[in-house]
Amino acid sequence: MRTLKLLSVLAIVPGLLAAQQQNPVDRLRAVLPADVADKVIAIVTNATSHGLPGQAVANRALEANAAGRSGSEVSGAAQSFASDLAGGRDALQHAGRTPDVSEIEAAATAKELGVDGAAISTLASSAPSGRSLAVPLAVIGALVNRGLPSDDALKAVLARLTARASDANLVEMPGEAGRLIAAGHKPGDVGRALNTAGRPLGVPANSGRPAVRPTTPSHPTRP
Amino acid sequence: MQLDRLTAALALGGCFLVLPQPTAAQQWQLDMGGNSVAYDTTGYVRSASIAPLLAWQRRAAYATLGGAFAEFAASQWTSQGHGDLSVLFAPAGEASRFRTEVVGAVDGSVHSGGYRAAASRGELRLHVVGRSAGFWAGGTAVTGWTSSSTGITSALGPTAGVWGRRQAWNLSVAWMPYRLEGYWFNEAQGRASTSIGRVDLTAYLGGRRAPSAAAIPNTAWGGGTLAVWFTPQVALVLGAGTYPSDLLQTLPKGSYLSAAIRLSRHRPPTWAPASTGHALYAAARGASELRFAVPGASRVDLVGDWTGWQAVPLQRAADGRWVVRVRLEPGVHRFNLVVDGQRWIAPEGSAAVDDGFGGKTSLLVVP
Repeated sequence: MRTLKLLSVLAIVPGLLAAQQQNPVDRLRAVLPADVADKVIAIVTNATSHGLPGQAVANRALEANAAGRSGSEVSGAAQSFASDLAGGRDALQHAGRTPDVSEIEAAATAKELGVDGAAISTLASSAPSGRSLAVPLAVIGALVNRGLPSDDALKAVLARLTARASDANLVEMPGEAGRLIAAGHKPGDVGRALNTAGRPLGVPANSGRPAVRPTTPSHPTRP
Repeated sequence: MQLDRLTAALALGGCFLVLPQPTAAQQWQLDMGGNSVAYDTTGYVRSASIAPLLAWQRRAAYATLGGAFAEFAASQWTSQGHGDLSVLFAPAGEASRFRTEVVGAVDGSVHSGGYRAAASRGELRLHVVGRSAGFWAGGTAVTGWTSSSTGITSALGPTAGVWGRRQAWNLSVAWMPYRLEGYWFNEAQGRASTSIGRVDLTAYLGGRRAPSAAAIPNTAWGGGTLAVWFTPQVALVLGAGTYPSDLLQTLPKGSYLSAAIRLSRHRPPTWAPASTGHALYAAARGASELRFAVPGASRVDLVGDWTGWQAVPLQRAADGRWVVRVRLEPGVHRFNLVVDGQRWIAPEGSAAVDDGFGGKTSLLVVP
């Protein structure tokens, strides 16, 4: 059984690696009808020439194709995402930042998730210098996706950035938000609750009281 | 006597009034119920009690203020209060694993018979904090006073502890040796808690070893609390267990049963995995394992930007979840699951964006 499992895993790996290593533009040629591929590749080339991540545009077309969309829908998805990328880049540049491709892609994704351009510009102008905004932007997007107001999500992420929180710490925020919402907090309150960057989640918050003494009503009063 | 009772009740009510109006970082709860307590010197006595608690957190500061008022038979009553504040500093920056915590706490009790007792506690902890586990070491100073003693009793000692969390479980163990009136006492306490659906469970276990010359017996204690949440604001809370004598306030040890209705601003958040238990936001740089719960599926494939949107089959793990091992570049990735070769889904609990065609695409953020 163990050998079978090993063989099945080994069988998967080459396909996975091959998919990961193939250039998206080559994949476009391989999977799309020639006329659609030409159209999409033209969009990709145009995006790249304007400093946008063409590979992300190609991937968006591949996604639409894999979902069984028509040729016009595939090229439309590529064109639409190229426009989103340009919007994301403009919002970042508006704040005086020279974004890299990962930041542009994250900004476009954040906009798709409902973050407004002003919030993206505010993040870009307020975040510590030298820090990539790719993950912070994605996290803001994920928080907005969970129902937090754009402003509250921005403030919560900015507070942690200012406190030098790591990207690994930031990506826990959507999960924290989900748990708070599941516990009955209103989304509007969750942003403010997340804006308490200082206390790591796991540190027992017993304020020095012996942790095991049960609180009321388990801790009985004594006559 | 009536005036004392009124004073105690007002002091307790003041717990609600001292802090400003609750903000998102504040929590309040009010327990109303009954206790049955057996002290080491008496049989079981019953009481009705009301117990408010306020918790407040802002950035690195965390404070609680609470108390309890209990009415016994024959117009006997007792009132307790406690307050504590801890502030956590990150001297090497939030990105570092090191934290310093300064703690101050006070508590006291008043009894209708005239007995009063109070204690204070100061503690300094140095923490090393990981993603799912950590430990601390430090020192503690405590003082105690009672209305039947002539002075203040003090104790000093080091402290150390560990905590960890896994799945929906939180565990912590603290070791607190202290020197009191010339004797060293060794005390250790452990606590475990978890949430299963609407139920929160907490259990604790502790022990104290006293030197034979102190003429105080060694003691062990333990117990648990079960809270069943009917709504995010209302729970039934049941508790049972034993607790040790308080050497500083000369209060006896005892055992108890309790039941109460808890009204709360909201159910306290507990560390727990997302409902499907997958690690969407916990993918580490480099190779990482993604796990998904897809009930009822006989086959699950993953399609995503890192596979060129080609289907990659997932393996079913022993726990029934579907697993794939990936190596992803930092950034934002898009993916979906394909169930039984047909149905595209965004896993429950993930951030999902409209795919532009009426469906959803999941996002995976890799730090």
